[in-house]
Amino acid sequence: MAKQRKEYGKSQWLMVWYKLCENKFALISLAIVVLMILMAIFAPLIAPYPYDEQNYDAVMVDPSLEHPFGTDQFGRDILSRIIYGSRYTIFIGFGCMIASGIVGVTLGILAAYYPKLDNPIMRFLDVFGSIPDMPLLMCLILIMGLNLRNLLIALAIYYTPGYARITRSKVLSLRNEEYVEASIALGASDRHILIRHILPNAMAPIIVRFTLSTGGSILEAAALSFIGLGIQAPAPEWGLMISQGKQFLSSYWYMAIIPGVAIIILTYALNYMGDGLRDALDPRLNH
Amino acid sequence: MENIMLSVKDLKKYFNTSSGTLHAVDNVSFDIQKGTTLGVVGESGCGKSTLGRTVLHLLPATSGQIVFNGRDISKVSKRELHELRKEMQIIFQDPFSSIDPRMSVEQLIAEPLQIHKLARSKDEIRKKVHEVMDIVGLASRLANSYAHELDGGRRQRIGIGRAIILNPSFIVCDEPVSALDVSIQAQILNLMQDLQQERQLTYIFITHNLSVVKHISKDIMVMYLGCTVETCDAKELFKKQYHPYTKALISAIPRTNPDPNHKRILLKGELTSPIDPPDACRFAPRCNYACEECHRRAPALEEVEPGHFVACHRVREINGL
Amino acid sequence: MGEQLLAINDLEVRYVLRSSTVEAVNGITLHVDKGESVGLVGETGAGKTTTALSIMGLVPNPPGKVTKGEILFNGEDLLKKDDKAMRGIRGANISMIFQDPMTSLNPLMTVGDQIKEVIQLHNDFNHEQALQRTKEMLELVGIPGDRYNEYPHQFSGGMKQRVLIAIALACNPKLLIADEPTSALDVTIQAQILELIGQLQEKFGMSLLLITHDLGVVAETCKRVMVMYAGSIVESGPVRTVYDNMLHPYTIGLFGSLPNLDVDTDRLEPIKGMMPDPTNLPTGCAFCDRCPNATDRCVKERPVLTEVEPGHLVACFHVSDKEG
Repeated sequence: MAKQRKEYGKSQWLMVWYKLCENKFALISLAIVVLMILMAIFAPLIAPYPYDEQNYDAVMVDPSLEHPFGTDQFGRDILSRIIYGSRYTIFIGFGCMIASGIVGVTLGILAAYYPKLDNPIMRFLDVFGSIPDMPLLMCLILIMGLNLRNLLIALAIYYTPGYARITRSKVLSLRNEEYVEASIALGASDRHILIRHILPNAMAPIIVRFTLSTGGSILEAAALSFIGLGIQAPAPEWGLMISQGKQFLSSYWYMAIIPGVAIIILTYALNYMGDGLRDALDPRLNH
Repeated sequence: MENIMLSVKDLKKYFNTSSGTLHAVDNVSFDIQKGTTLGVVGESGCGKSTLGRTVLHLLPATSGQIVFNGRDISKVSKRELHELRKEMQIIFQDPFSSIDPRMSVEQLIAEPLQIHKLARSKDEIRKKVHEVMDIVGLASRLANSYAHELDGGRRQRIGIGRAIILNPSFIVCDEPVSALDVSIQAQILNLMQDLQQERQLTYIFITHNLSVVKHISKDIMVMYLGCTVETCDAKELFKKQYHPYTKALISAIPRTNPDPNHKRILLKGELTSPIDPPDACRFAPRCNYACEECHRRAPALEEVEPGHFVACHRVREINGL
Repeated sequence: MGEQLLAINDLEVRYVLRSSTVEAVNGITLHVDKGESVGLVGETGAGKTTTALSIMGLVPNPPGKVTKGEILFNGEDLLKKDDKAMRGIRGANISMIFQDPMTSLNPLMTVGDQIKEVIQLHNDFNHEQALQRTKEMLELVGIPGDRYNEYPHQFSGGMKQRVLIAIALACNPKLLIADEPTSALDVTIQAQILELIGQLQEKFGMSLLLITHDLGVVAETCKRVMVMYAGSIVESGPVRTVYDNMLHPYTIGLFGSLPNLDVDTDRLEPIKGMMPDPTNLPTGCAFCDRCPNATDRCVKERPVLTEVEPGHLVACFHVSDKEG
């Protein structure tokens, strides 16, 4: 390590990576998240059975070599459903974050740069921020209609204000940095300053928020599916699987517990990754 | 006059604050000759940094005239200002906060060229950047390093490199060596002097450090609470000071060879508020010689000796002129 | 020579980091006599503040560790004392003023209460007595006693430094350590504060260890000076002796870097290069990379402080050449 640091030309991002590597939990979490993403992409190749193949000869069988996580009440292989289900979870989690991230960051920049827009934008977003999550999401979905796209939109709307707020405050403070003034003194345009100086330096808190709230959105999506307002059967969405398994909880608990554990592992991993990133990105912890 | 690089007349910069109008710079006028340095000294809050920024249009002036190279630039359009930036540059005090931590040395020094689209190819940019790095004394192996890997002296060299790569004729140096250790400070001062000689640069050198300002400047302007209190040739000022504030300021410098008979002039109290100041001498509340008139009317700068200007009602009385 | 109040022998302090060890203080030996004022001069990273913190027993541990040496205060080794005993000494016998008056005060407490707190911590005073003493202290440092109930943000930088001095002196310490007490202040305010420290030192007969990077401040305040470089003392002696006859090339370089007010110079003569990396100091003289007279011996061997004239000590192999 000491040797590496002596060489010149380590960008701050590279330093962040080194520091992240020193944090075992964050690294394991990162590995889990990457594995889950790979699992979602290559689901048809990995899954032993199609997720909707019903086998009435093997209904609710205990885990075995043939069905490592057992089967559900229609004889569908739970492992395969979990693997396919990761597609929904990952898609919703990251899709929602990318959508709300782009919209939120843009609104935040607009609010920070144009004082005239500041109040309208932020007060409008406050409205969404002031309603508890579940009622807000339920209302939005019921208004727009039940489907995957609308679920994504609702979640994105719910997460947008957070991004906008964090971006706005970060941009406002960065605009007062001396190196921004230095750039103005060189004759740089607003656009140049925004792209070259402000955004790169505002990325750290936004990335941390990204990982932390991806976990949150996955939980929200699962909860909505659980109460029937999310993904609809027969899709192998994890929240929906818990919901379907809950009636068999006393006799055959695998059906509800296994997707539950899958959700826990993924959100835990995302949260640990976020924590690790926050520590790695914090310049005060540099030495 | 032909030889004047920058001429500032009655420059005012006021800020509106919640408790009133803050007079950061009040009626300041000066001329700087081409290729020379004007040192602006004063303690924190005297408006010296605001003055530098207002001259550069980094802050809009409240009123007053700025003539740069014979051309009135008090009011300029955005495009004219963009062009003007190539001519006028600034070097900042804090080499830690004035450099974007996410950019490498090469990117930092190349930025001005990109902003002004002054290079056609990447190779040309690289060539120019390495030339400048050589001039300011940065080894080319540091091209890819980042600010957090470098010490203050090298960071300040980056700041100087960024300022000179556009070949400006005028640079505002805002406390460029105050954050540096003595031995590094001397290296940077020498570099700045060399650059001035080679490129006929004109500097405004803003600092609170009197020995530095004496060393580097041709003329010195002493400021107190937004106003000029005394201005003259640098060497002259350290021989005879006429304004009570300048006297106290110079006598307060800790010397390595203190004269045992020398009695420091201790000022009473501290800086008064620059918010809505009364029409009076700003220094009067702390001045040992203040009379009734000083509290009633602000003194104007007057030439007490050829080239030596002082703003004090009692200057002749006090100094027996 | 007076009676020694503080004597540091061969002190060595290390900061052990994950990947490297900072050699902050490398076997320094110094003493402060009763009632004496001593200046410790050096640039950033020379180890001045670490030395001060070791005396106070405040070196952050981890990562800092005193690895060798002893710090004798009134003949007792402070390094052997436990936390409780040190708490009794800090503030009462040894006080410290820090560089930044802006952050050294609690913004939520009145300045009076902050002074009173220290007084009550070390004395058996009741409320009335403590209040009385607090007001005396405020007046002593030139602040009207009726500002007792004001908060730090209502004070300017110079006034805050006065409050900190009042806190430091509240219990009549025998030794005052001032770490860059005026570096954050303007010159005219610095003059006021230095004057105040000087007066109070005389009045209470306490010893002063003044840490600064400013050679002028030392000349005006101290009797003796020690120049520190990369964790070692390279030159020490009475201020006038050292300033008039500098012998260590680093000291000479420092003076060459300083614009002189009395003599007009066209160019400064700075020391070339930079401080060596404190995690990777050369085996020989720490200054050898930057030294104009360095020889093979300087690279291989570390010079020790040697007395070249009465009271004037220099750590350099080439002093005798120059002297001769």
